[in-house]
Amino acid sequence: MNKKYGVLLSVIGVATVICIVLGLVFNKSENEKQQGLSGVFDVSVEGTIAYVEFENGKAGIYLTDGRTDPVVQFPVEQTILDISFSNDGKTLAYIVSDKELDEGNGSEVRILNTKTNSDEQVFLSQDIITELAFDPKNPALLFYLQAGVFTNYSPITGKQPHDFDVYSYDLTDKTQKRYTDLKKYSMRSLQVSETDASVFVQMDDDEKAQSADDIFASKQRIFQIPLDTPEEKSIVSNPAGEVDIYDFLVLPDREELVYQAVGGTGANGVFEYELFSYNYETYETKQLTRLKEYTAKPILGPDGKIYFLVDRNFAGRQPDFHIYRMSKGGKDIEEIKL
Amino acid sequence: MTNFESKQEIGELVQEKMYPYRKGMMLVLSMGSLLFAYILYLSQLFVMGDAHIIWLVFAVLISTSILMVTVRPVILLNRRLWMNSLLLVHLLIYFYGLLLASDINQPYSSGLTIIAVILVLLSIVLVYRTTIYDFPSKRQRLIKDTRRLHFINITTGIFIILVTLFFLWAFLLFSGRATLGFLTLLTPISGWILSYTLQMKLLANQQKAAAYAIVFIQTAVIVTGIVLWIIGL
Repeated sequence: MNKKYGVLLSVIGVATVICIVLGLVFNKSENEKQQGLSGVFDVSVEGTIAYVEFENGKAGIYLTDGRTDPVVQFPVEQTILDISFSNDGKTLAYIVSDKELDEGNGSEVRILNTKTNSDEQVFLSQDIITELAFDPKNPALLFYLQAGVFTNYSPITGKQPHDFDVYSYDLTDKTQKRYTDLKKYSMRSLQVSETDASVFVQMDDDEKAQSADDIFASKQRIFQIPLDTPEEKSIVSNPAGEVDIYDFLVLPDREELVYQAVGGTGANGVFEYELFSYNYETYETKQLTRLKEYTAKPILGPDGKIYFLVDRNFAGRQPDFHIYRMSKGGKDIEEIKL
Repeated sequence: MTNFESKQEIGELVQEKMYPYRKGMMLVLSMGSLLFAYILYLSQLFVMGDAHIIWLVFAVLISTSILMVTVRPVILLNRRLWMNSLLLVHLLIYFYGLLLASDINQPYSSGLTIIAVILVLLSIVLVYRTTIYDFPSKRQRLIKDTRRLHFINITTGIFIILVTLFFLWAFLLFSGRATLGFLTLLTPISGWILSYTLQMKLLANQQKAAAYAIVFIQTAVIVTGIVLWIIGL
C-alpha cells in the first residue's frame, strides 16, 4: 500500500519539476512578446513601403523592395516610434526610444540610407520625441513633436508624454528650432505642408476652455500652424463639426482632408474607427471605409492611392495591424500583402 | 499485514456508508485539480509566455494534500477543521487559477475557465458537506438548527469574502500601494467570524432564540448594506 502512494507522489513530484524547468526555459519577459507590425509605416516616392515589425519583441525596419530581412533591428528593450521617408525616398528618418518610457531616457533620432544601408545617429534628445516628418520643400529639414514632460496628470492613468510642441532639426547646420509654445496635453499626426511654411497637427480645441466642463466638451480637431507666426493657427477640419477627429491626411493643394473618426460601435461596445473625407469646396463629408475595425494613419502614395492601417484586434491584448490601400474616393480597398 | 488490510477495507466500507459519494467527490476534486493545474500552467506558458511557477507549486501541494487525506484518512483531533482548511486554501488557489484561465487567449480560455469554475464549485459544495453533514460537531444537540445556521453562515461568508477581494483588487488598482486603510477592509470578515462563532456557542448552550436573533441581525445588516449601495448608485 505504502509503495503505491510512493509511486504516485514521485510521479507528481517529477511532473512538477519538469513543468518548473520548462517554465524557466520558456518564460518570456513582456518585452519579448510583441509580434507583427507595430503600426508604424511610411510610403516612399518610389512606392516602397517601410514598416516596423516586431520579431519576438525586437523592433526592426523592413522595406518592400525585395529584402526579407530587417534593414535595422533593435534590442527588445527598444522600439521605433515613428519613421519618415525623405522626399526622394532615399533616406529614412526614425525615432528610437525605450519601450518603457521614463522621464530620463529620452529619444534618439537616426537616419538610414535605404540604398547603401548606412545608418547613423542624427541627434539625441533628453525629452521624448513621438513623431517626425521631413519637410517636402527642404530635404535638410526634419520636423518633430517633442513632449516637455512625462507624467500622469490623473492618478488612474499611467504616465504619458505631455506638454507637446513643434520643433525642427536642420541636418546641414545641426541646429534645433522650437516653433510653438503651446505645451499641449496631446499633439499628434504631424504633417508638413507641401506648399507653404506651415505644419498640420491634430490637437484638442481647448484654447477657449475655462472650466473642466469646457475641456470635456471641447473637440479634437486639425490645426494648421504657420511656422513664422505660430500664434495665428487655424482649424482646417470642419470647424463646426461635432465629431472628434484623430488621425488625418491633408491632400495636396488642400483638395480634400482625409480623417479618422469614430464610425460606429461594435457589438462588444468597442468603437469602430473609419476614414472619412471632407471636401473644402463643397463642405461635404463622406465616409470612405466601412471595415468595422480600427482604421488609421492615412498616407498618400506616389500612385495617388491612400495607404492606411487596419487593426483587426483593436482594444484586444495585442494589436493585429495590416496595411491597406484605396483610391481617393474610397473605392478599390485592398490589403497589401507584405 | 493482511489483518491491517482488511481493517482498512472495513473502515472504507463504513466511511462510504456514512458519507455516500464523499470519497468520490474528494477524488474527483483532487485528481481533477492536479491535472488542471498542469494543463493551465502549460497553456499559460506556451500560449502566453508566462510561467506561473509559484501558483503551480501551491496548486500541486494543496491538490496532493487533499488526495492523500482522501486515500489515506488520517486520524486527527479536529478532522472537520483540517478538512475545511484544506478546502478553503484549495478554493483560494483555484479561484486565482480561474482568473489565470480566463486570461488566456481564445480559444483556449473558454474550456479552461469552465473546468476552473467546476472545480471551484465542487470545492464550495464540499465545504458545505464537510461542515453540515459529514462531520457534525458532537457538542451540538439541535442538529436541524445547527445545519440551517451553518448553511446561512457559509453562504454569507463566501459572499463577504468575494466582496472583500473585489474591493481589495479595486483599491490596489487605483492607489497602487498598501496603507493602514486596508485593514478596514477586514472589518466585515471579522464581524462575520465573530457572529458565526457566537451563534454556534449559543446553539451549543441550547439558546436557540438568541442564536436566531444574531443571524437575523447579521443578514439584515448585509441586506441593508446592499440596498443602500444600490440606491447610492
